[in-house]
Amino acid sequence: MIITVAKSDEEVRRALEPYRDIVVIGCGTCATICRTGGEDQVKEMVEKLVGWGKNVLASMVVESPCDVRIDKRDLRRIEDEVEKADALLVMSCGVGVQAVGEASGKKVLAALDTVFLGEVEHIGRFLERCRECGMCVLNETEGLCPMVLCAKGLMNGPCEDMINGKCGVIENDVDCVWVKVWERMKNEGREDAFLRVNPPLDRSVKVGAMKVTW
Amino acid sequence: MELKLKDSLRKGFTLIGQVNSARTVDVNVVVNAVKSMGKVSAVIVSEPQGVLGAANTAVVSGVVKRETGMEVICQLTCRDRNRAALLSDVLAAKMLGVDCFLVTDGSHPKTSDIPQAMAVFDLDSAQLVQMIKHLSEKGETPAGHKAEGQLNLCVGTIAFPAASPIEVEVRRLERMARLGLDFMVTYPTFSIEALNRFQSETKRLDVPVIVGIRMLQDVRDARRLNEDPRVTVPPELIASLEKAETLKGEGKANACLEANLNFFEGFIEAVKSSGFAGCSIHAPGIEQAVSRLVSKLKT
Ligand code: SF4
Ligand code: SF4
Repeated sequence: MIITVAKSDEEVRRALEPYRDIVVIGCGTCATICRTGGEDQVKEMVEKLVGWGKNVLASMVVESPCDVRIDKRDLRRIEDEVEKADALLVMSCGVGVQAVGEASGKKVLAALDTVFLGEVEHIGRFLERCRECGMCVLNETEGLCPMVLCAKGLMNGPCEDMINGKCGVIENDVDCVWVKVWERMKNEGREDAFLRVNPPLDRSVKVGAMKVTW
Repeated sequence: MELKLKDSLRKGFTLIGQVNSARTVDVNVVVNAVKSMGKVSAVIVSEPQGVLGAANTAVVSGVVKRETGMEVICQLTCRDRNRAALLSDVLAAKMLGVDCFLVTDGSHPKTSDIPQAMAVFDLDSAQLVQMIKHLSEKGETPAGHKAEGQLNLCVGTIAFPAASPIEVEVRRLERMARLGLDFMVTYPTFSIEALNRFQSETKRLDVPVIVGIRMLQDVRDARRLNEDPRVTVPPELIASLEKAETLKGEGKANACLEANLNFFEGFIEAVKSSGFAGCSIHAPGIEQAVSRLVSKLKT
């Protein structure tokens, strides 16, 4: 799940300043679960925009705005409004914002901040679990992601900030992931695995604008 | 060629000093501090805690080496430099006559005075130890990038005797020991019992342990240090520093110095009889105290 949080009203308002005729687009998938871009949040946003003196031409929740095909299909229903709009305000993750821009060819603005890829423990509690490193090392680290769960992204922890098994960098009393890795290895009787030096990561894997094609 | 520090650690109890780099362009701040330390066999040039952007320790180490002729151990952290910049600093330091490195991961920028800075950690401390050992032994990085010239380097790390769970810390050190770690310096420790426990856990690693001594300017300094959960300043030392607070100016400074000397003279003797390889004495802001302490010790 891609976890999002709402930008402040002030920031959204500032981004919208040059524009008057607006279409608001929500997300029926992740942002609905995060309660940042579902039906209710879109409705609230429309009310806010009206309050700020904007002219809201249309609003809709696209099933998954990150999919250009679905954007094209769903936006057809409000084709004229999209055409007339000065900007589309998209209440989805950054991927959705960009895909809607591509599908519509229009100016798009982001209403949310995309914060992480996380698991959903329950609605209202989302936990970061992956930073899409492109070379998953979970098989070396007992199924615990060091890029995310270690504040320094170390491949051979722990470090000097480990205090009583907790990470002294990450707030809220979080366990040092390297202590957990050790415990899991120990429980499996594989203590020696902890002595292995994991090699440096190949940073060239993530140069940006990656593509997967086949 | 045998490196002086390695040689000296093997031969007997070795006293070294430690001095912080600083956010300054005045080299005398560091050089004078080193000069006032008196008879120590080597000096660690370390990064000040919680301060980002202090003058590069590789360069400062080179300057200290040139100005004092002393053997210098340069602290390198993985916090601000990617693997290429670390390699570059190791080579530049060696060019300036610095052979020894004290490698740590480095604290996170978030806990520093420039919390917005990017946390690099392209390598971690184990990978950096590996790189330096590889350079030293094979003249190239583990990835096969060649460096010209005689490298012959020595590398240590900081150990945390009070870490809990201690078994994880011991394994972390064992991982580095297997890479050929040349020495360890403990984080400031005031308890001989804790050190002896640590020694019994790490003796089998066969890596010389230098005990980190942190002298205290006054009771405020002691209390601040005590806020670090990895350090426990003994109450009796705090009490004697507190007594000095009734005095002023030089009288107070002398009383604080006496309190330090009284505590550490015996402490270092105990460290020595416990069979540790040496002590590294850090006295930030009162470096001349190192000289007083060293001259009091039986050699
Ligand atoms: S190692 Fe972590 S960041 Fe990389 S792919 Fe696996 S879970 Fe994601
Ligand atoms: S304490 Fe553990 S989790 Fe936190 S930065 Fe250090 S190694 Fe990573």
